[in-house]
Amino acid sequence: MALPQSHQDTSFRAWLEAPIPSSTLQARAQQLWIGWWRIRHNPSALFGLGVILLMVLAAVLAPLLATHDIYAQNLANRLSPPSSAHWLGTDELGRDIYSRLIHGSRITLYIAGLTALIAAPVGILVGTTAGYLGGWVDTVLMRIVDIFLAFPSLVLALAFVAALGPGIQNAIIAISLASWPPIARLARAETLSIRKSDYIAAIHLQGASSWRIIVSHIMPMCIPSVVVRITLNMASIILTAAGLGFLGLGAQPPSPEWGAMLSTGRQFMLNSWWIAAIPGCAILLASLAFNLFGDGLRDILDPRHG
Amino acid sequence: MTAAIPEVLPAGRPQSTPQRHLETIDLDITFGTGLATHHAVKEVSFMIKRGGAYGLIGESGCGKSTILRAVAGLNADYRGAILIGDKEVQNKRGKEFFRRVQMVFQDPYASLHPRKIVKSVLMEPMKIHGFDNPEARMARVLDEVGLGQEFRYRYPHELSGGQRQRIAIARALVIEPEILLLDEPTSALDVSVQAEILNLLKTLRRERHLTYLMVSHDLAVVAHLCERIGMMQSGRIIEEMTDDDVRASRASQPYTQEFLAASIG
Amino acid sequence: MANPLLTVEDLNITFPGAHGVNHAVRGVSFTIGHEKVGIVGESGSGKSQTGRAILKLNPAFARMEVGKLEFAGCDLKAASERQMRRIRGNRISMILQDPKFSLNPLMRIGAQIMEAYRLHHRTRIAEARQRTLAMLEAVQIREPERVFNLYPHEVSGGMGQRIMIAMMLIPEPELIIADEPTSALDVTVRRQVLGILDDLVSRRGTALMFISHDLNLVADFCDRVLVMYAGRIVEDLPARELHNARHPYTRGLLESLPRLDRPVELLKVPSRDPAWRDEPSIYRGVTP
Repeated sequence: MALPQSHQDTSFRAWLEAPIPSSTLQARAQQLWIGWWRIRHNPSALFGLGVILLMVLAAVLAPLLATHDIYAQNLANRLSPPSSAHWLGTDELGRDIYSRLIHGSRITLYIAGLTALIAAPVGILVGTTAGYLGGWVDTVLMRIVDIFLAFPSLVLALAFVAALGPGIQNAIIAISLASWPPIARLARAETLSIRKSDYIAAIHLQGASSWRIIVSHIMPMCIPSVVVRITLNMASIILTAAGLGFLGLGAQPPSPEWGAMLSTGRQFMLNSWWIAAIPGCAILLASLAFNLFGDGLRDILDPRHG
Repeated sequence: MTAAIPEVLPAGRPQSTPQRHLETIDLDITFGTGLATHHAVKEVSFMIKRGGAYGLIGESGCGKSTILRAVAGLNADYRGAILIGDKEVQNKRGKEFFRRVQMVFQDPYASLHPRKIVKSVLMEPMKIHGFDNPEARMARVLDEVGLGQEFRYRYPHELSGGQRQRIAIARALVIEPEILLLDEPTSALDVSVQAEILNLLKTLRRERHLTYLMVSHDLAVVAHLCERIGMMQSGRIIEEMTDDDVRASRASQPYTQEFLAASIG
Repeated sequence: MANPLLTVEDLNITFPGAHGVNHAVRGVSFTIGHEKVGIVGESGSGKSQTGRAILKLNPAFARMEVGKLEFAGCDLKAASERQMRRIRGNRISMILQDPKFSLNPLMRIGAQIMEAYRLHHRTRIAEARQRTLAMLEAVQIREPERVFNLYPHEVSGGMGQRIMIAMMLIPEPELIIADEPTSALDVTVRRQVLGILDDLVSRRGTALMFISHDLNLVADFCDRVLVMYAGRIVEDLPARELHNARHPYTRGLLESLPRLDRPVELLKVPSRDPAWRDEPSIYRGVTP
């Protein structure tokens, strides 16, 4: 993280720590700086962040980091254990597991990120609207949420994928459909506690419309807890994606999705442990990292913590 | 909105007191239904002249804050009438009402949005009511409440309680209301900060010709700011006094006498 | 005071923060005998942190350094968490501002008070019950039998605070730290609660450390007043001498209150001087 220009670094730091900010941008940047300061003092969150950054880096630089073509089969060299030629061994078709794992992080992050981008806004919008307006709007919206919540998320995703056909895009849609309702619930609960507060009463007394209150006063207060929740949910999103891949309903072979890799490795587990164990560990590490980072984020972002 | 409001006045009352600015007639508020019914405010009537300051005083649960919230428009579920000038306002308030009547809350730690900088707190009401020259108005009101321009880009959690209350007052004043409702504006503050805020409120009232309706449990604070004081007990105003009556402990009701004695002792 | 009950010497409490270290209490020293000592100051003056430090109840991220912390011959500075637990509630107890947050909402009042007693005294339930009822009567609760079986949400704020007092007094502590015990109460109730506290404390010879922001209240109620400003004790004087206070800060605080007997157009706002942080405190009107 350290920048080489140390001189500029100090003046930038002075700008960040100036007691009196002189622009909106500086005020925002200072808040981020304080957040970063708090994360730095939270080792497990820092570890989570580190792993997530490594994953992002691996995904971005996948073509450079990969040592082999991920689709190139080499049946003469199938099921070979980790060695200097193949750092993490090869699978049943002789493909390099290390390279596939690196490329697989792209798919995992793509699914996790896109799901978050779909589920969070929908969940926030439904939850805050229901919570603030109350009455029949609340009843209708929350019953819809209840219907979605009544099914276990993997079963719901399975049903959608079965209807839409297997594939990554459909898996994302299915997982998003399963993950917005808990967010709506959370946003509604937050809204119910926020709507009674004095600052919402104050803006109401200034003549603001309900829409303005929801969008520019209630939503910003819900976003932190939703971000935390989504980050914590990332683990289960990754696991659901892997589960769908494992069941053959997510990413399709030969794509190097971790769940699909795990699924094929299952047949060779007794003799060639690495085929299943390595993608399994990757899934475990990724979900652990998101969980730890989410816990750290909660300490920073949750208004109740400061 | 006000133009369309019909004039509804009970018979037998003087039809127009030229100086009347805010009046409640037989204000009655109940919460809940059935066994859990709580009759919080019972037939409360009082009148404040233009430029006057009226204080409602009483112990917690006496209904004083409930009256203030009903007048402000935070609780539309009341019976009786609330008049601004000579016009009765509707239970559900319109935008025009909020331009004329603003409120300052008790707890400055709860009444400012935790994720908005001072600038957006002050700009928003002007945007809602379509004021011109918002930057200049913001600069003026910040000076008026005794905060410098450097406070524009601060978040509430970076400010002290007194500074926050000044921002809350600035937010109320920035759209130039005529009536300010004050809900225990200093009870969450330290005594020295309380002195600053009381001085500020007193100065602003004089300079802007504001009308105050204040609610407090602290007799000395109310007597300092208001010249008429209504003593409340279980939902009713049991006695009205001037600030001089209070200072001289001239009260006819035994409860008021007890309250005065406890406040002085 | 030949042998003070509590001795605090050179107490420092700091909080690390994003903008550097916040020095909440700066080298505070005082003693408390068998008397009622008021600690007054504004928010952020360090008065509550000082009170908590005696029981080592400061937040985990606060750093406390103290030269000497001694209570009735017992070295609290060296005491382990285990030893502190035996002292808290038993020998030193604490009354907090709002009974709503200090009473367990799911436990009947009687059971909570009994628990406080039985935690430190091994007695039979019947005896603890007798003592609890007697204690409720002592804090002037008219129908102790009825209140014994109520839940905290079923009582008023004033009664809640009297119950808190009963709960804190029943193990018969030698020192009570009361942190703004009456600020959440109405004026008429406040007097009554203070009267009860005063009566019980004087009768049992319990020492009281009364933390408050209300100068007049402390002047009325306590024997001695310590005035805190920015983590320092700036003045230490007998309560009845408060109106002859010497320190400009104490004087400023007194003058900033609106008074019923002396109407003024504008109130005086006390000045603040960072230099006061480093000056020695004024003791009984004498600058050392």
